[in-house]
Amino acid sequence: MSIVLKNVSKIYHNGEIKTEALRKVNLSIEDGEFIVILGPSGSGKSTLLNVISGLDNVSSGTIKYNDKVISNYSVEELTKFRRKNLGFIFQQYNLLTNLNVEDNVKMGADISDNPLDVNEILTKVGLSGMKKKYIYQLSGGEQQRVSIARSIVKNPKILFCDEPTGSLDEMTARQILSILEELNDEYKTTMVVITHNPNIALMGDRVIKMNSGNIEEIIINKKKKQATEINWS
Amino acid sequence: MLNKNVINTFKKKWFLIFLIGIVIFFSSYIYTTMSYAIDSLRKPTFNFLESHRQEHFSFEMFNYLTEEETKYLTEQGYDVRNIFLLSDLKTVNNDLFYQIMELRKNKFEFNFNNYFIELREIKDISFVINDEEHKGRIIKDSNYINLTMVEEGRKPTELNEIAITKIYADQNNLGINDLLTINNINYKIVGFVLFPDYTFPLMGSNFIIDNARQSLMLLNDSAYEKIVGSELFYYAGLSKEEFNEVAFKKEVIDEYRNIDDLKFISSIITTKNQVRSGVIYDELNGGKAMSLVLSMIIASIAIIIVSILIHKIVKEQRGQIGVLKALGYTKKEIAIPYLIAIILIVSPFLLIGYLAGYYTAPFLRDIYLVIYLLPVINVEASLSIFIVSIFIPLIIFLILSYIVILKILSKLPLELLKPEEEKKGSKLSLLANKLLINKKAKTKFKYTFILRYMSKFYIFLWTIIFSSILILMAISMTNVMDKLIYDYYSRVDYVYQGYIDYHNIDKIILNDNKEKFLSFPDGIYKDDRVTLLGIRPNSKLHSLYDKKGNDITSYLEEGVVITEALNMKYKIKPGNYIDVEVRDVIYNLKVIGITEEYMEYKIYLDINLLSKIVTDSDDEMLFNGVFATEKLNEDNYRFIYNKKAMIDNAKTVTDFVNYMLYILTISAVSIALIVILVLTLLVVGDNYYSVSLLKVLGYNKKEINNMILNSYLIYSIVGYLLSIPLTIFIFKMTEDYLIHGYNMIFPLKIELWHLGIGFILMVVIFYSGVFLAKRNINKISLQEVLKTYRE
Repeated sequence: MSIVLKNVSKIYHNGEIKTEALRKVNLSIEDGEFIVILGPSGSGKSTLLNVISGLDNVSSGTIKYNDKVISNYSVEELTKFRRKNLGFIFQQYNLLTNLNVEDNVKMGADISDNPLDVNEILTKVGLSGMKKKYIYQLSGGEQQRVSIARSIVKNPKILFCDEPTGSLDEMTARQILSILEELNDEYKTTMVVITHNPNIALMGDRVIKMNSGNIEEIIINKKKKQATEINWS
Repeated sequence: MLNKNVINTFKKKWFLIFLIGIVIFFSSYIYTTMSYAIDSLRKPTFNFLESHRQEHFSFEMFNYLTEEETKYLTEQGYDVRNIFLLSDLKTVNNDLFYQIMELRKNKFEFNFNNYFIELREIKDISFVINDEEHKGRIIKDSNYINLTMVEEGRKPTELNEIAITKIYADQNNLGINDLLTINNINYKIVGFVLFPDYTFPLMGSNFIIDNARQSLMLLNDSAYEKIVGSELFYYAGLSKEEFNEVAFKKEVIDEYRNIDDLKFISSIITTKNQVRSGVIYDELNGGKAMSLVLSMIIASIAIIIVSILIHKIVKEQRGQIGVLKALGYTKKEIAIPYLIAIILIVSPFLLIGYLAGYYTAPFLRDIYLVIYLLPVINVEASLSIFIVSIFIPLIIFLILSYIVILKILSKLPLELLKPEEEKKGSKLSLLANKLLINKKAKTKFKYTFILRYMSKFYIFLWTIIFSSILILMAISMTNVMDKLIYDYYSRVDYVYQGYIDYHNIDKIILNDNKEKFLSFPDGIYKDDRVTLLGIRPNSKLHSLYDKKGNDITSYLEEGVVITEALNMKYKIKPGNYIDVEVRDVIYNLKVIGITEEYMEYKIYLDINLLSKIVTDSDDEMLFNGVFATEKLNEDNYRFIYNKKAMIDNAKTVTDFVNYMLYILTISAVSIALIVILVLTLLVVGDNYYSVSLLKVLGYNKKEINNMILNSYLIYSIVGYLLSIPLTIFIFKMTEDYLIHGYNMIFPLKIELWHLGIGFILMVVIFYSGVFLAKRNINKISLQEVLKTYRE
C-alpha cells in the first residue's frame, strides 16, 4: 500500500497563538518500504506520523493511500481504515494490564479480518513461554514485544512506530529493532519509524529528516544496516 | 502557591465534585431533617406520656359474661339469660355492668397486687358531614390512668359540649366554640384533646387512619352514657413500682391464663407491644436510628468516593509531589493544601444539607402528624445535631483523605519521580480471567478491567445493592395498602355491614339484598384472640377468595376457611386441624382453605355451625349482623359500616404510605444515578489511555462503549440480583417483628412484576448514569496514547 502526501499542513491553535507544525509537506511512501523519520524534538515528526496514520486531521493538503484520499474521511471511516490497514507501536507500551500477554495480543487479532496466528507471532517476538504472564510480571523490553505482537497480529499493511526503543536499554532496543526488521522482511509490512536517534536511521530504506515542520532532507540508504550492526553510542 | 495549585486541580474536576457534593448533601440533609422532625415530637411526646400517666399495659376482655358472673347476677336476683354481650348488659342495666367491672378489677388486683387498673370505656360513632361519613371514637374521661391532655380550651362540662383532636378540627375548618353536629345533636367544641393511649388512632383491626374524617372525642360522663354507639371496654393498668417489661411478662402475661378467676381476660398487652399506644416509641426511637443509619450509609458512599477522587488526584500529581519532596517540602506542607481543599469542597455541601434539613424538618414533622396524634414543639436548633451532621462527617472525610494522601507522600522522591510500576491484578480479576478462559480477549477485558479498581467496584456494587433494596421495597410496598384494605372490600359484594341492636333483632327482615352473618370476636387460637365469622356457604354478598382468585366460599360446607393473616402468623395449611377455644370449650376445626385477607385473625365458618358453637348446640339460626346491598335502617343496628366510607377513609393512610414511598424511590434513584455517573466518569478517567489506545487500534465507538461502560451493566445486574434475597430477608424480618411485636399483619411480598419493574428501573438508571460518561469517552482524543503515561 503506497502513501502519498500532497501539500500537507497542520496548524495548531492555542488561544491566539498559531503554531504551524507541518508546512506543505509532500512525501510518498512505497509499499513494503522501511522509512525512518528523523528529527529533533519539535521538528514535526510526531505530527507527521499522526496525520499520515489518520490519528489527527490535516489543516490543508491531501493524504492518499493507493487511490483513497483519507484526509477527508470522517472519524468513523478513519476508525474502519485503521482497523483494516494500520498498526502502531509507541514509546509507552500502553498494554491492558488486566489481561495477560496472550490476551493483549488477541485484542489486536480480534478486530482484524485477516489476523496472523497469535502463537506464531508470540514465538517470533520471543514471548512464546510467557503467554499467560500478566503485564506486571514483564520487563520493559518484554512489554514492548507484546506491544509489537499486538500490532503485527492484525496483519497490518503499514506499521507506525513512534520512538519504539525510546524507553529501552541498548541491548533490548537492538532486539526490538531486529524484530521490526524481520517483520519488514518476512511480511513485507511497510514500516514508518520515528526516532531522534540518527543511528537507527541507518536501518531505513529512506530517511526523512524533519525540521520546523518541513522535510529538510530525504536520504536514501543504498546499503541498509541491520539492527545488530548499528553503532549505538 | 501550593494551595493555589491544588485548588486549580480540583477546579478542573468541578463536575465530579458537584456530583459527589450532592451525595454529601443527601447524607447531611437526611440526618438533619429526620433528627429535627423527630426531636420536635419526641421530647413533648415523652413528657406528655409520662405526665399523663400512659398505661403500662392493657387487657381486653371477652365481650360476654363468665359463668361465674352469670351465677353471681342470678343470685342477686337478676335475669340475665338473654344477655349475649357485655355491652348489652350495660344498655340493659348500667349498675349491674359496673358491679361486674368492679368484681373483675378486684380479682385482677388481688391476683397481681403490684399493679392497679382502671376501666377504659369507649364508644365508636359515625356521623355525616357534607355527605361524607365521619367516625368518632369517644373516650370516657379517666381519673388515674391515661389522663386526657387538653391542648387548647378545656374539657366538656355540659351535655352539649365536646372536645376533639386538633388535626380533625384543622382539617375540617373547625375551631373552639364552633358547632359539630353528630346525629342531629349540636355539640359546641370547647377544646382540643389528646389521649396517651391513642397516639396512633387505630380504630379497628384494619389500617384505616384518616384524621380528617375521624377523631378521638371527649364528652362529659353523662353525655357519654347518652350517646348511641358501639361500645368497647378494656382495662388500662399501671405498675405501682417502676414498670419492668420482663418481670411483667413473667408475673402476669405468662400466668393469667392459669387463674380461673381471670377467665374474662382475652389478652394482655404491654404498651410497647400495643399498636395504638406503643408504635410511637418505635417510630420515634426507630426513626432517629433510621436517620442515622441511612445518612451513615450515604455518607460512607460519599466518603469512599471522595477518598477515591483524592487518591486519583494525588496519583496524577505524583511527579509534582516527588519534585516538591526533592526540593525539601515536608509531608505536612504538601498534605495541608489538599486537606484545605477538602474542607472547602465538603463543608458547603454539608452546611447546605444541614440548613435544608433544618428548614424542611417542620414539613416532615407535619407528615408524622397526619397519622399520629402527638403534642408538638417548634423545631429548635440543636448543637448535637449540628455536630453530628457537619463536624463528624467532615472529620472522617479529612482523616480518610489524609490516610490516602499519606500513602503516596510516604514514598521517596525518586520513587515518585519514576513512573509507577504495574500492579498485580486483584484476586477477583484473576478469578474472572480464569472463568472467562475460553472467551474472546475483548470479553475478558470488558469483565475484568472494573475488577482492577476494587474500591470502585465495591462502592459500585454496594450502591447498587443499597439502591435496589430501597427501590424494590418502595415498589413492593405500593400495593401493601391495596392488599390490606382495598382487595378485601373490592371482593365482597355487600355495601353495608350492620351489627344488630340486641333489642331490635325481631325487626330485621331479610330479603335478596340482605344476608345474615354471625360474628363472634372472642375465639382463642393459641395466644391470639380470633374472630369467628359465620356466613352462608353459598353467600353471594361475602364471597371468599384464595390467593389465586378462586371462589372458595363453598369450602365452608366441609370445614373452615382462615384468613391469610392467621396463616402468616401460625403457618397453617389447608388440611390442618386447629383447636379454637370458644367460651372455655375447645373445638377442633378442619381448615379447608385460606382466603386472601390480611386485616384480621379471622376464621370463617358455616353460619349454622358457628351458631351451634356459640349457643352450645341450642340454636342453629342465630345471627348478629347483616351484610346488605341496600341502606340499612339505623334504628335497628348498633353500628353500620359503609364499605365506600371505609375505602375513602383508607385514602389518607394510603396517601401517607405512597408519599413516603415516592420519597424513598426518588432518593434511591438519585443516589444510584449519581454514584453510577461518578464512578463511570472516574473509570473513564482511569482508562483514558486505554480508551485512546483502543481507538487507535481501530475499535469503534460502539465496541469501546460496550467494553468500558457496559461491563458495569452485568455487575449492576449482579448487584440487583443480590438485593432481591436481601430485600426478602428485610421484609421477612419486618413482618415477623410486626406480627410478634404488635400482632400487626403487613403483607410485604415481592412479586414477579415488582422484580420486573425494579429491573427495568435499574437498567434505565444505569444507562442514564453512563450517558455522560459515554460523551466523555467520545471526547478522548487519539493522540493521548502518544503521551508519556503509565498507570
